[in-house]
Amino acid sequence: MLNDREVLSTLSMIKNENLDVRTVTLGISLLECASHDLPRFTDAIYKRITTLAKDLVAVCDEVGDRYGIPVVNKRISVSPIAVAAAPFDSRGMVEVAKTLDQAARDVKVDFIGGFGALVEKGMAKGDLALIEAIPEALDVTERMCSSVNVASTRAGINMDAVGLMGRTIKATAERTKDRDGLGCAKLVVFANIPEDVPFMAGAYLGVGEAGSVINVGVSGPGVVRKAIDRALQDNPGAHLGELADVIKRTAYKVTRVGEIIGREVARILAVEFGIVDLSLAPTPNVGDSVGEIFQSLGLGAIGVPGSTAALAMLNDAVKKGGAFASSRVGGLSGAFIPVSEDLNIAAAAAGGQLCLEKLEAMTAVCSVGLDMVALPGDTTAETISGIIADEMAIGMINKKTTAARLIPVPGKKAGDKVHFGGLLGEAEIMPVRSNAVSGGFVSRGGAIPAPLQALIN
Amino acid sequence: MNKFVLSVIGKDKPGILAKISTILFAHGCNIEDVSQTILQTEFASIFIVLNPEGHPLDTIGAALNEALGGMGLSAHLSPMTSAAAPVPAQSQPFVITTRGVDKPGTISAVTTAIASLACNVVNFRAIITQEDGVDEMIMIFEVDMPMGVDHRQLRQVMQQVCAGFGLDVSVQHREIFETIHRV
Repeated sequence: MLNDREVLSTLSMIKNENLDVRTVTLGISLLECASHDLPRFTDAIYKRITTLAKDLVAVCDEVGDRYGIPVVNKRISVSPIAVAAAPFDSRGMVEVAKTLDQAARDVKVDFIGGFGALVEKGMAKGDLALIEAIPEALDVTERMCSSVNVASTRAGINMDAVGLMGRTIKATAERTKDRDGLGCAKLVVFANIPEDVPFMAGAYLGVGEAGSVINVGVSGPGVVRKAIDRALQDNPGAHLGELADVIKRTAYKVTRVGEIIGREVARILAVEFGIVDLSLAPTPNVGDSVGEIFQSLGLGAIGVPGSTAALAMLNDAVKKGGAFASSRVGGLSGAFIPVSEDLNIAAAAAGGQLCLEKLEAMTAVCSVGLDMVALPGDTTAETISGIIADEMAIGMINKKTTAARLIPVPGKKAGDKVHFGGLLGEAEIMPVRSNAVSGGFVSRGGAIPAPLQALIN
Repeated sequence: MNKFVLSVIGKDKPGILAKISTILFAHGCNIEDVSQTILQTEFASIFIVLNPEGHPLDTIGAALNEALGGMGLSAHLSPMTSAAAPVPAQSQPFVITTRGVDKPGTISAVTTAIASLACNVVNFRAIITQEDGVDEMIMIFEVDMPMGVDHRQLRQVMQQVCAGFGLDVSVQHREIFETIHRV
């Protein structure tokens, strides 16, 4: 028999606190489709994706409906295209991108990820072709996302790739300038990318994964914030250790929801269940913001002194709760701090409490990194590469995933508004200090060697 | 068949169960199943009792009523008619929760809607709370939904009937509540 408290608190989490399963991502390996013949390859990947994913949306809706927990996004991740489509040049890669986009449309998923390469130690022919294709590929497609891993703790930072990605981001922004550089919102540069990320734009199916797998991304910044508010209402003098415990317990509940939905979807689709990624991923909606959690903890805004410590506490508590709830926690798991996708973070950036440098500092303890940061259009490719290199260094040295999703908005300057629409949200463009003076360092290229791991900081 | 069903109802006070169980023991009976609940000041319980020595029910009933009568309680006994537990039909457990201003006829309408889809209510609680000075009622029904019924159909029917009474309604698989709250 259920007790009243269990029933009412669950309903409250779902209805008033925006508890949902943020994303169910079906990972599909495309390696078995490998061919030197482009039409044969694109036919094969289209057929494989549309066959495996044809019921994904319907099954997610059915399971979400049965449990009364909405599955907000249904997505697909595929093998790194630079590997699966290695024989093709950049023209071929663009054709592959179009095929992926068409397959995503036809099975009605909102995003497909995996147009990416892993180049932390060096670039092969396919990697180079793919990166060259990125600006056009992101221009001519709508639902496709791209990610490139340029650094890892074991391999170091591929500075040639970092330099190339700075130029690629600029070119992508230019090609999509009629949409405020929207293409860049679907392009991430990573260090230590996990193989099982369900969240875009970094989702891809790692080569060490099963042929098809369901990974689930659970969110719930609203639930965490309300839980903190309730705890403070009951005990206004609660100390941070007590609040960390509240966050941990809430994360546990949220993870359990993700696991039950993910396992059921995987069972019905007859594919393997992968992981639950317990990340607090915000949406641009009131009540679903990571930034609001900072305010509940007693900070004036995200970005003010104390923010890095608060984020560290939040991230750790989320991971502890998740680890107890499920033995299949993976992906990124922590708290995302994407600027434009979080109403409160975007407001802090616009209000001046959150600057690029503080954001970078916070990425040392957050789930991913510099995410959805709109920059002035005149930010040079070298400066963008410098920002990426700094972010990659944080990931490399701290053995964590970091990423940079930067959008130099063509024709706009710091303080201007930019609107990407939907989940990508809107934000004020953040100023970049010391633009155009990093070229001497970045253009040296080569690799920053992997760090010693014994004498750690 | 040497089992009987005993139901006891009346004012709640300390010592009721002690008195009942002592009298049953004195008649050589064994309590196999028991459930009790207290609503506000009222006590109600139901027992399945094994009566291996075949004491007449009216004798046991007279003893119980004599002992409980002074406490403002009454006992009712009836023989059990079936030996084996019924074979449960294939079903899925759902939880229906409604919330809204308390109005006459609400429970009747909601339960009729549940019954119209052959769903069996296995547990039901209604809680009255004050919301802005108005009595608000929360009803929680745990129901077994036959396998042939689509949960979307159940939700649709519930939404239709609840809309007429201005009630918010949710229909969810029971597993989600257990998953969230229980290790």
